Amino acid sequence: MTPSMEVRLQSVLHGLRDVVIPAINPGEALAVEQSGLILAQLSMLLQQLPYADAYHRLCRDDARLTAAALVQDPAGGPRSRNAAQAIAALLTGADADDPHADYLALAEGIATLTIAVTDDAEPGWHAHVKTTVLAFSCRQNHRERVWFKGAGFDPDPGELPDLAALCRAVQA
Amino acid sequence: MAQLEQKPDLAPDRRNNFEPHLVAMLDAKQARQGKGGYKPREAQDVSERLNRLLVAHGVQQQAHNVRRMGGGASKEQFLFDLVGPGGGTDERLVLRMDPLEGIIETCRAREAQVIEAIGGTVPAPSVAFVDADGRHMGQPAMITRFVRGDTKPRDATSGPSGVGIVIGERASVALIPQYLNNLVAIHGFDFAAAALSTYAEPQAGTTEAALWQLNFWERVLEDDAVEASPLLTYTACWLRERAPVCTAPVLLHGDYRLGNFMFDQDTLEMTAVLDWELAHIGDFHEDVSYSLEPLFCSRDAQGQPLVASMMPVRAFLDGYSERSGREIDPKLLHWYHVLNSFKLSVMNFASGVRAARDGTNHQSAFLGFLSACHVGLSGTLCRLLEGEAA
Repeated sequence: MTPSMEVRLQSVLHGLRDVVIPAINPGEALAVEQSGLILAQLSMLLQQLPYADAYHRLCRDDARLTAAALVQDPAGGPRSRNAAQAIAALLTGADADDPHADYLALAEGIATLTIAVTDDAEPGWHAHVKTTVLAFSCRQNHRERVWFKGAGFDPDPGELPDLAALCRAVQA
Repeated sequence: MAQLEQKPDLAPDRRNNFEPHLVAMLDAKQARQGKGGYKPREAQDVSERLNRLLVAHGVQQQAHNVRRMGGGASKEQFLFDLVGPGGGTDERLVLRMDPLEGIIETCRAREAQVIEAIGGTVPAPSVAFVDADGRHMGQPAMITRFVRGDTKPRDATSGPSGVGIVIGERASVALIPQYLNNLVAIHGFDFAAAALSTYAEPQAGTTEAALWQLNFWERVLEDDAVEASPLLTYTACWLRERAPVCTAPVLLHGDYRLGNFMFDQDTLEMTAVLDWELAHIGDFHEDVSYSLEPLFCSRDAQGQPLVASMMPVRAFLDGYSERSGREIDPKLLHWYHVLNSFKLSVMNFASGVRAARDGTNHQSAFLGFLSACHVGLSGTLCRLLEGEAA
């Protein structure tokens, strides 16, 4: 498709940077602050755009593996078992074309199960779920830190790879 | 001070099991969600409303030269001059006004109460007017007298909301004792004798102080999150399973960090502790651990964190203990550190994202950008929780 999303974003950035922002009255503090952040947000989106699909697949694939491990041997009361069944249903009905939507649904299922096992799971499964969810959450957090590295908030950006390296495995 | 009646036979409803004033506040927020966006206020409109407020308070002066202030992540802020009948400026005032939603939901009446109470104990802005229900300003508002000073050295740079400020050695030497002394003074404040009718005291010797905080932020997560977070859900369960007893509740600032105090550039004297909107009564470890959050620390040459960009963690903890006479319990410090990272993550992952998405704040672009900081805060959570599990 022409113009591509990258070109359309680039053109918006040019217009903002070269025409709109210089025309803002420096006394308009809110407009000055917001325009700078809009520019930064659009620039970050432009950097992320080529990797969005690979990134979402990475997150979805890990969430699927985690979810499958969580519901392998459920042992507990109805609340935990229902939450496990809901995850099992998600695993059979995932939409391969929308990895982000799949990830969000799986994350919701995993969160629901995390609360449910606190209520009525048997101790062994409870411990398994908690350990597995924490390990997944830390891997997911690592991916998210890479995704948002460009925002400049990370306390340890030096320990993170760049987005291209993170996504390379999926693209290969 | 409201005292809660103990009802041991009732199964506590987590969604409503915290300070009654804050339950009502979150109920009101929930009721207005999804009912339209928010347009930033224009100076002319603010000026007209201010003058109506002044008349209602029987004030002879008028609001002139109303202009927006930069900074601030949660409230609309305007500076204005109070001008008398003779035309001269009598006083400079600061207006803090709520947008519909932001990264935190707080109460102007409650903030004004604690500022007025604490004024003689630590330097704080003095309150001139409160429009608690927004009948004059259109939204709840508080007006304080202008305080001279800055939140960072003139030559320092910083990110949004005071994050990322680096303070030099000269300023640090002067500010460290004041930073510690003010924190100790807040915790030593006799809140029971103060006029704090919108506050409730958790019962000493129970887990109430810890659970009220957890219940509040868990409800905010439930009400505001636009997507699920297994990590935050896991963290809430972790915190609940380990909620500690608070032996002696104290007044807490709730957001005590670099960026939330002002100082004179020449004398390096602290002129005000700011942003009291998250103040509450609870365990002193909560305020102490808040300063340890990496988002609010800079790094020294060896990469070690500097609390408030001024002192190593050990110096901060020892300095607090020496001055307060309180012994810091590492387990409690750890629990409250997890709670604070959870609370800060909820603000940005849930409330900030919702407000940015729905356009219910005056600076949606800012909130949309700032919310990315939740991944660093969640990174802190992962380190703290993994350390516990190891």
